[in-house]
Amino acid sequence: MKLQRLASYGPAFVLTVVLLALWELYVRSGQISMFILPTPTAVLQALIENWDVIYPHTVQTMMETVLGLVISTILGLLLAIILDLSVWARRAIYPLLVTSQTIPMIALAPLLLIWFGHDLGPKVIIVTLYCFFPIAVACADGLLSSDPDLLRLMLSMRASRWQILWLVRLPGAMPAFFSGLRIAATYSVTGAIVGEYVGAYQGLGIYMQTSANAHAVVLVFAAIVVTALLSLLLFGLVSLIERIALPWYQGSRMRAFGQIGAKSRR
Amino acid sequence: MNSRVRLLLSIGLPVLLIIAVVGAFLLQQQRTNSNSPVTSATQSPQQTPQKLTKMSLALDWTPNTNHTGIYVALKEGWYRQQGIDLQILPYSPNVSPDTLVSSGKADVGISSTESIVADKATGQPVVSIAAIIQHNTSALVTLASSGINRPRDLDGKIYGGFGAPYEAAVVGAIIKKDGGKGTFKNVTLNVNAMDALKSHRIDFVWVFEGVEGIEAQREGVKLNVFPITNYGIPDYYTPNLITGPNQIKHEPDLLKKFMAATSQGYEYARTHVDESAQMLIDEAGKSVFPDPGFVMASQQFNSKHYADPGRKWGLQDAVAWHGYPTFMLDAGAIADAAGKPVKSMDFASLYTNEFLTQ
Repeated sequence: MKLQRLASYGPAFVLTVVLLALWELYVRSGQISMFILPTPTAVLQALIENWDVIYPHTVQTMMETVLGLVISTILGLLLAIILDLSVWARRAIYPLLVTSQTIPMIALAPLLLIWFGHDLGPKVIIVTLYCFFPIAVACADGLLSSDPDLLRLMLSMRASRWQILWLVRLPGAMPAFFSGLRIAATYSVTGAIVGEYVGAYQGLGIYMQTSANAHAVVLVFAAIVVTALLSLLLFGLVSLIERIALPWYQGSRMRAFGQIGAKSRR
Repeated sequence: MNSRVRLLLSIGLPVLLIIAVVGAFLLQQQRTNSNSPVTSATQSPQQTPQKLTKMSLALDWTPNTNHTGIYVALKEGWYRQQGIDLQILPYSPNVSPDTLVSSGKADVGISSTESIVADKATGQPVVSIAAIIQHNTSALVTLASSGINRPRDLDGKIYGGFGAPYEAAVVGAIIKKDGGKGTFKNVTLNVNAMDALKSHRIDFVWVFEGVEGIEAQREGVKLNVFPITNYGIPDYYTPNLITGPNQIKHEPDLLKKFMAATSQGYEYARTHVDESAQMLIDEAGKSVFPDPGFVMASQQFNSKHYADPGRKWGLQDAVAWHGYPTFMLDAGAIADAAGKPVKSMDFASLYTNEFLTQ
């Protein structure tokens, strides 16, 4: 099982290596200046050589991301439950939620800086604005789609509203919640970077900015690599927790996929 | 795995992550605090018995040799000797230092004559308290290989701008002065203009000789340089140190002390090129200057330009505060908050020498 799962990443691994090799060859062949597009090996080397400088920035960005993600998760869950309480709450709040996602962050971020200063606060707010929405919406949808037979069973046993929520509907909404959380985790690091880009003492966003101003494109790429790794790490962690928390869901999904695959192969 | 272990793990893993990240964050903060000499507790036995007053400074760009004097004064502890705990705010491309100063988020900032005139017009006045570089060292540049050898050849070419309201007026005036029509395409770039020039996306840019000019030299890129003051644009100060009318009213003594330390820093940088460049690199950090050689070369240029020989650093004259602002108003480059062009202004309120030690 373990080996099988590892093997399933094979194609992605091969494709990545091929793309990186092509990139390296293209730049080395002199088609484009190393100053404008550095080779992957140069990026890796720069990353290792400058790790002592990049590390504090990484920690800062990670702090903002994790804080924002935690707040988003709590806020998203709460909002989903509130949306679920009554039709009226849903009608009143849902449009506002959607509107919150239409704000161009690039315009809002500088204002947040003027209102709240250069510290952690504005960045955490931006991460939260990016992340709470997918969690809230996915979780609210999950709550709506509980198994009607189970609901009827609970009602027949005179379960209270909260008992139904706690015993049937929230567990039933968990797969949807994790889908939302995975999307949020992927966006979160980028959110923190956007927040830092407009002004910060420290963080990968401001590091990219200073490197770009110093014409050190290779360092910009190094920071991008770290950003991507952080995002993947968070994504992987959410997936792992999902696997641990919802074994029944994982199992049934795997089986379903397997069947489809088997059928199509025939 | 039974369900209790699963529950524990699914709560425990996120908690572990949070603890790890917060821990690393706090550790990092502790380390930077113990490294930097700025923490006020560590230097009590010095000759400054009074408590340090916090001051913040907003930069106009990422740290560069225009800022050397400030970093020298920081490194040498001259601000602390004046009782000031100076904090340099991180540069932000989207929030102007003028806004930070006039909204009180920063005590002092670095700006330029153009912005100061524009701020006054829109009713968010700031005041220039020192000229950091005494003469304008900016120029329009083209690639030497482009065959554009005079400003009048720029007609119909593409200009890579930075989105300021006065750019078109200044560039147009230069072309006309050289006998052209003053018509060109203006593309506002959010990327480094020199990179765009080198990749032939644009034909000419407006840059500082002491920064981009030196950089191109080091990269072996040949440029044609048209200094703007050679083509009828009145000389002016850029960059400038600024503060707000509120700060002048409420903390004039603090500003005086700030300027005393800052002058000391710039006067040192005028005569100690290599040492001051090294201090800039040390204080601003390795990540800002991947190429120390460039800083040295740029400092070599700027140290000569901070002030004319025999003149004190920072002093401003009425002549400079009349010529260029008048030119901008006449060109229609300055508008009020409602977007209407401003045609007259009290230039004397834009600057003061009163905080420079006489």
